[in-house]
Amino acid sequence: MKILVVCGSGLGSSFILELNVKKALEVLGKDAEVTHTDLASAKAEKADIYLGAADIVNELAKDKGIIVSIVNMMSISEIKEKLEPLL
Amino acid sequence: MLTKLLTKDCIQLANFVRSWQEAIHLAASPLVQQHKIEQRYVEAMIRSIEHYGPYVVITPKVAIPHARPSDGVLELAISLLRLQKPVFFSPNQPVYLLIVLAAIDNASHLQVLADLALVLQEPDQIDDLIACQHADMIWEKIKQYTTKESTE
Repeated sequence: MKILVVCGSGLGSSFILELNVKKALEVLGKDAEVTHTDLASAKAEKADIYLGAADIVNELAKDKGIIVSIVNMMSISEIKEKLEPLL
Repeated sequence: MLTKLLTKDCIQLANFVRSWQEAIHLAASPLVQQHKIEQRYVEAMIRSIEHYGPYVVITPKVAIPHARPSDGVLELAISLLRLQKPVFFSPNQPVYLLIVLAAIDNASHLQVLADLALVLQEPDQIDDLIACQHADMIWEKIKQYTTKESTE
C-alpha cells in the first residue's frame, strides 16, 4: 500500500500532512508507505491512495487511484476516519 | 529548531488587514528587509494560492504561505504574523495566524515543519498564540510547545 501526500509545491503542507498521516496509521495499527510530493510530480507517480487538500487532489485524474481530500490537515481524527475504510 | 529560526524580530502583530494578499505581504516583510527572501518570492506565494486555491490554510485559523526555493529564497527562514481580526482566504476560512515559510531545498526545513506540527496539532495552543499581545509572548509559547515534546 502506497500513500502519496500531495501539495502545490511539495515542500510545506504535504510534509506536515505526511507526518500526520503516519501518526494516523500508527493509531490505526496499519502499515503503509507514505511519501510527499508536489502536484506536477504526483500526476506522473503511481500510488494506491492520493491524499491532500481538496483544491489540490481534485486536479488529479479520477482514474489515478483512490483520492482522499483532507479539510483540516492537522486533524489526526479526520485523516484516520477517511483512511480507515480504505486500508 | 523552530525558535532558533523564528527570531522575535520576525514575529509581528497587527490589528487587521484588508485582504489575504496584504496579509502575506506584511507577514513576509521582515524576511524581505533582512534579505532572506527576494520580493518576487512574496508574489510567488500569492500566485500559488491564486492558482491552487487556499490549501495553505492547513488547519482552522492558520495559513502557511510558501513557494519554491527557486522563487527567490536567499536563506532558510520563517516569519509569523498574528492578526487581531481574521483575514479570509475563502468565505469560510478565517485566518488569524500566518506563518511564512522560505525553504532553500527539499530537506533542510523539515525539522522546522515537524516542530511547527507540534505547535499546530493542538487547537488550544493555536488559540493561545492568537490571544498573545506581544511578540515575546508568542515566541515563549512556541518555545514551550516545541520543547515539551522533544524532552519526553
